Amino acid sequence: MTFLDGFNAFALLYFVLLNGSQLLTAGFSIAALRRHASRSRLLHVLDDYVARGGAPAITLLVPAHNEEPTCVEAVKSLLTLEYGDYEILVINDGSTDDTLGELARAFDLVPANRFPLATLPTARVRATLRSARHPRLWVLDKENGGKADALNAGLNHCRTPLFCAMDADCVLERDALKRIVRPFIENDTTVAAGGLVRIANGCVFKGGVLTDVRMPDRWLARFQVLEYLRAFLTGRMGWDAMSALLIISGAFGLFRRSVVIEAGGFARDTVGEDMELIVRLHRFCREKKRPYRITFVPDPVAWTECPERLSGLARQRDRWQRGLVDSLLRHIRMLGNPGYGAPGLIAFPYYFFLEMLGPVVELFGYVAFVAALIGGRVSAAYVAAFALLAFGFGMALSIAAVSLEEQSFHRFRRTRDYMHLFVLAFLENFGYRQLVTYWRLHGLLTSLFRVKGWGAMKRLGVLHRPAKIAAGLTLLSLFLAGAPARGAYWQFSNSYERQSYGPPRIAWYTTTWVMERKVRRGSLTVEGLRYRRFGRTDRGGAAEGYLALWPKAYANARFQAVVKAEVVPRVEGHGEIFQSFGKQWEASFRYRHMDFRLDDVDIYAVSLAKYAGRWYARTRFSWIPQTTGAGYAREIALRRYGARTDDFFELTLSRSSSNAVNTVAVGVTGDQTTSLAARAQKFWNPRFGTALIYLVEDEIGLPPRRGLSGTLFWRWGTAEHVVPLTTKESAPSPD
Amino acid sequence: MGLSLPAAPPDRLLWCMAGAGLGLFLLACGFAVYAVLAGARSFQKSRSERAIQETWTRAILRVLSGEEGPPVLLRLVGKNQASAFSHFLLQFARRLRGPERRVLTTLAAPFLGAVAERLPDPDPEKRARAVYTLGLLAPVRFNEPIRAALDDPSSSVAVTAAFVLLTHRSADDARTVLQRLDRFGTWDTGLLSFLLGQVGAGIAGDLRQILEDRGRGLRARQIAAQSLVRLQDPLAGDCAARVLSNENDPEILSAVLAILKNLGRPEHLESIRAACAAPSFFVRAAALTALGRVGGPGEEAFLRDFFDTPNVWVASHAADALKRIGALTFLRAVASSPHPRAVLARQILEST
Repeated sequence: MTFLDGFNAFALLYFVLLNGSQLLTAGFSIAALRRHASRSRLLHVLDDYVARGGAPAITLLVPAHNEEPTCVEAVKSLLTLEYGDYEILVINDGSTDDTLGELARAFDLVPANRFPLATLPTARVRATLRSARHPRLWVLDKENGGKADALNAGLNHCRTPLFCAMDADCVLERDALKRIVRPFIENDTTVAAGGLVRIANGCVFKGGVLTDVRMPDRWLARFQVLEYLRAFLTGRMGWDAMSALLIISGAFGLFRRSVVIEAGGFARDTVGEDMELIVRLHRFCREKKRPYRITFVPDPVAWTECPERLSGLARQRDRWQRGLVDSLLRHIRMLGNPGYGAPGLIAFPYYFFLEMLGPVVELFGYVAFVAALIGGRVSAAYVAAFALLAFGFGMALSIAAVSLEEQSFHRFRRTRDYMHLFVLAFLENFGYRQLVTYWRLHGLLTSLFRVKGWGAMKRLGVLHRPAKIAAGLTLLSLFLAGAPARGAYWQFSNSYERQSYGPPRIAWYTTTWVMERKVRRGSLTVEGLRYRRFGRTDRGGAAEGYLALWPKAYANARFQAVVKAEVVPRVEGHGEIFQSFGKQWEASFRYRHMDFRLDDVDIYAVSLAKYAGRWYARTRFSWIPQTTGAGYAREIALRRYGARTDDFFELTLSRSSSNAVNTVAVGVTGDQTTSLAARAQKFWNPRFGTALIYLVEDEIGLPPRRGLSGTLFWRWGTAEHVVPLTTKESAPSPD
Repeated sequence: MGLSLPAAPPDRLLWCMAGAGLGLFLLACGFAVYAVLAGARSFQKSRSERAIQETWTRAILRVLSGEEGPPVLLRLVGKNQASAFSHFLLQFARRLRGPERRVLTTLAAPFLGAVAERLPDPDPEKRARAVYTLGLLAPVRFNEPIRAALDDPSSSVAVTAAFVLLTHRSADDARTVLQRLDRFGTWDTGLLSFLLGQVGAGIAGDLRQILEDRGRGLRARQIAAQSLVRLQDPLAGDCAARVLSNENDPEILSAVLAILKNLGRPEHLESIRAACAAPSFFVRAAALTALGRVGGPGEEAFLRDFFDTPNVWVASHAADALKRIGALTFLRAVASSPHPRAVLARQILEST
């Protein structure tokens, strides 16, 4: 067994443990929800008590930082909650916009005295104000200190036995407080209770009140709807049933004031203050040997907006992972410690090994799996079985959450919304989960290296995003080194291209460094790129691979990313599948995506190629859908091979029609472009080769472009790394 | 091109993986089908339930107003609708008293046998629901089993039984509940005292007895104390003062001080002042509040010492007490000075 085999076995075991645990909590969740539904019919006993003002008073702590556009509406909705005795304490945490002004004007705020009853350290409180029109509304104005600091300031001024920590952009349902207070009435050892947080994107609110629940329009938000349902309904309910709940959402949680103050309030030096508090409460109560309960209630609902852009979602997931890591490492003594009961013995190990370290195993698992695939270490049957298992787990959990939602709450009134969720449960396995895993890995690494923010990452020098990708894929290359294969080799190449544009002669330069590993079943390249255009320089990296799929079929995929791209796409990728058929014919389908600074471009292409002796001909047709109208491109390539497959001469003629992609500009331009490229490549000996490319491009309305590039190749590896071409063999496909 | 995948060896792991994956996939499909069917079923059910409820509502309003007799409504209840009809009647039973409640009892009578069959159910939630339904709709007929439910192993069932017994405000039923105050587990004492407070002064003597009985559990005595406050029992003050003099437990002390805050008299001041020196800060705070309500201007010097105490909770209660005894001059002087508690003084002076 090689290292690769061992790692794959470990990854499989991890995968089974993770998903098995999640299925187990889902099972507990199902039972708990049924019990809850049954008990809910009894809770009129408590409704009367709450309605007559007998229930404990609650203070809503609402930290607000730069919430000028939404703060007034948010507070208005809080003023309409159905609960006897509560007050609202908005903490203006050093906003630089006019949050305080908006609140003051909308609610007639006047200075009022409110003596702090606790002394948790916080940034300076500048003023306390009260609404002249709504006596239950208070505003604390303080210097900026972050969310935890703001909550602690609110806690210092809290006068009620319970407080509710929430986000300023959350909308609570009218009966949310009535429902979330129930655990405190049923059991007076309850110290914290979390409510259900759902995605507000796409829903209809009128006057701060939810009137219609709908799925969001954007796919990214839709994936998060499913994620939240899964996390809360099959996750937290299950952990609560095991009395091992380690997380209560910072967007909506009810706490017992005295215990939280005694435990030290919210930690100000972490981004995961919500989880850290819960873990600390477990530890505090158990170390003090006090009976306590931390629970989750699925009834009371808070609605929150989720990020709809990749960048926002990335930041959020990165932050969540950092919060998780920090919370766990601070309280590491709880790990597997029977003194901390179910939280220490069950929940903590799960979060530590499977959630915290999970992204490392997952991402390297993907890499190792691909390596094993390329290296011929796994079979198609294994691939299919693993894919079925992986998708089965993911879909079962997600659809279980959806069915729990339907059975217990039935919030989505439209059948098509449920259908959307079922489809999402399948689709999220193709990219979304992997993206989230990547962001979580980033959060883990930043937390372990103790740096904050993306900017600080640059100072480390090794963690530029493209460089990370390149580093990861270099590791893959090392895996591939363990794969014995005839015809395998390593190759390094360096190319330099100069293009001139005009008149006037504006020069562009492109430099590329490529490391390739070629094995029997395919190849993998890792590239470093540098583009110099218009006095600006873009640097980036790319990875590309070829992989044999089934007989006479193979795939090609490429991913390229450029840091702070100004002249080339920020992110670019393509995938292409080739299938041979008949007598040396080959067809392919390609999808290419380019993400420019100002625009995105998708290109769909089909091609047909024919091999005949040493000749190879291909025609490709591309379609580029755009909002301004579709563009088209046609390309014909003709190649003549020499004595070896690496020696050839190729001519390529292409023509693209209106609204076609100008690959050197920052988006899509119009009119027609005709280009002709000639390429000559030769290996002078088994280890050294050169290539030369001459390009001419003519675009209507723009100056003509000429380009010349030269490439040097160095190869090493097994002795038989170059396959000589005989007249009886077909030429391999062009790369 | 010679690029082909190696053949898969027959392998137990492989078959397990494939089987598990297929099983999970089928499970996912099953969940999906269940969700769709459940959604459709609940939509149908809620639509038909709404229709039935509208019909029953129109009929029950005519019955309750005396326009029609109960048979008019009973004719509209199908054979399989016993449970739904009982549930329907509950929403009225929670709100109605007197003759209307008796009408509801008449309407429910034919259907409660099926409900009573759930009393010995192994599921505590079902037992609790049965107790709730029977207790609200037929408290006299099922009084014995409801009283027996007070001894149910599940505290949820016991609290539900206490709730339904106490809603009828019968002192006799309330005494049954009082005997079992220690049974209600960790339920909020405020809830139980709220329920007991609805019963009325008829149980005040029993509550005082529980409060003074050191053999009763802590929670029972706390509930008794809180209930006496809700009842505004005039004799509770003396009882509380006696307990205050003999007790050390901070929870009991703060509970009786809450009584004295509301029902204390000047003869209790000595005991209250002694409690101001208790080790627990919340007992001191409660004592200061009580002193502020019961005492007079003569307490100002005593209270001023607590105004400057390091514990802000105690200081805030002392400030409140100073305001109540009329020490406004002192508070105004502090409010306009650089005293560390100036904000507190201003807050107290502003509050109503």
